[in-house]
Amino acid sequence: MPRSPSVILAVTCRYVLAAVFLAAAVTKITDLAGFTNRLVWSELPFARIVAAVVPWLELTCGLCLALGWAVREAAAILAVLLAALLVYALAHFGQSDCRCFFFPTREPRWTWWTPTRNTILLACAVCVSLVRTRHSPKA
Amino acid sequence: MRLVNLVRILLVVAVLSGYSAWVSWERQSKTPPRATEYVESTDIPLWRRADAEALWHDPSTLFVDVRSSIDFEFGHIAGAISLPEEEIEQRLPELKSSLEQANTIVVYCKNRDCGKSLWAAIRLRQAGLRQTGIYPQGWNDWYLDGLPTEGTGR
Repeated sequence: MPRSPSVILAVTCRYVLAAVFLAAAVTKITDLAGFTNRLVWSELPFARIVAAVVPWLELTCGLCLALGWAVREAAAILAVLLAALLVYALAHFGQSDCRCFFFPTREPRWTWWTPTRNTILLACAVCVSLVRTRHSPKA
Repeated sequence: MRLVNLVRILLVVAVLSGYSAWVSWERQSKTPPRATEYVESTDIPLWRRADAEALWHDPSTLFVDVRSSIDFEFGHIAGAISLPEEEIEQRLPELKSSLEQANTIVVYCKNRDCGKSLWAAIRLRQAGLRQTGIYPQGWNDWYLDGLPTEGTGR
């Protein structure tokens, strides 16, 4: 069945987001204490609540995207999360990243890395949440 | 987009987060920080690896690495901050408010032969940070046991 470019883009973005957020979730969940410590000492507001919620939010939304269940809703939630992270990254521009993303051993020295990464992922999340990739059954 | 799906996702997240937070709290409450020995003629606690590891799981604990910045960059205990012993006087004023938030401060150096952690702990306690103790076996012991670390040389 032929698909429009916007649908192909949305499906690609969906799998990119799924891979990124599942990797990010596993990174955090396998080291929850370390992740909490890093957030607490980075003086992030409500650090403990963020540390308790974000890994599971990433895991749940990542699974939804990967499995194709409630895809647009999961993408919308991730878009809100990414927008908040982008605002924080810009407000604290130049500070080190939390290094809780994608199993890094060293963070890039490039100070634009965090806001750029969040902007790209935010664009993906918005794309997935707006584009309908399946035909809804008629009522 | 369906509101009911949004609510379902958020409910799943809330349940998972709540369960995870409860498990973490249970673990913390069962492993209270305690010292098995003290620096001679002082009340500065000396924590062994098991104690240090239990403390590390408590987010209100701060690990302070008093080795050089180069050593810190190469590898350090996950979540630790760098405060080289030579820079304590200079950097303590800016860090004090952060350090005061910690329930426990664990100072560590390279190994037992490194005296920096003792002098740093004394200085921090003199500055009013009475919750400071020492993990004398330090980085080498932590690293060799395969405990969580960060740094460029991992």
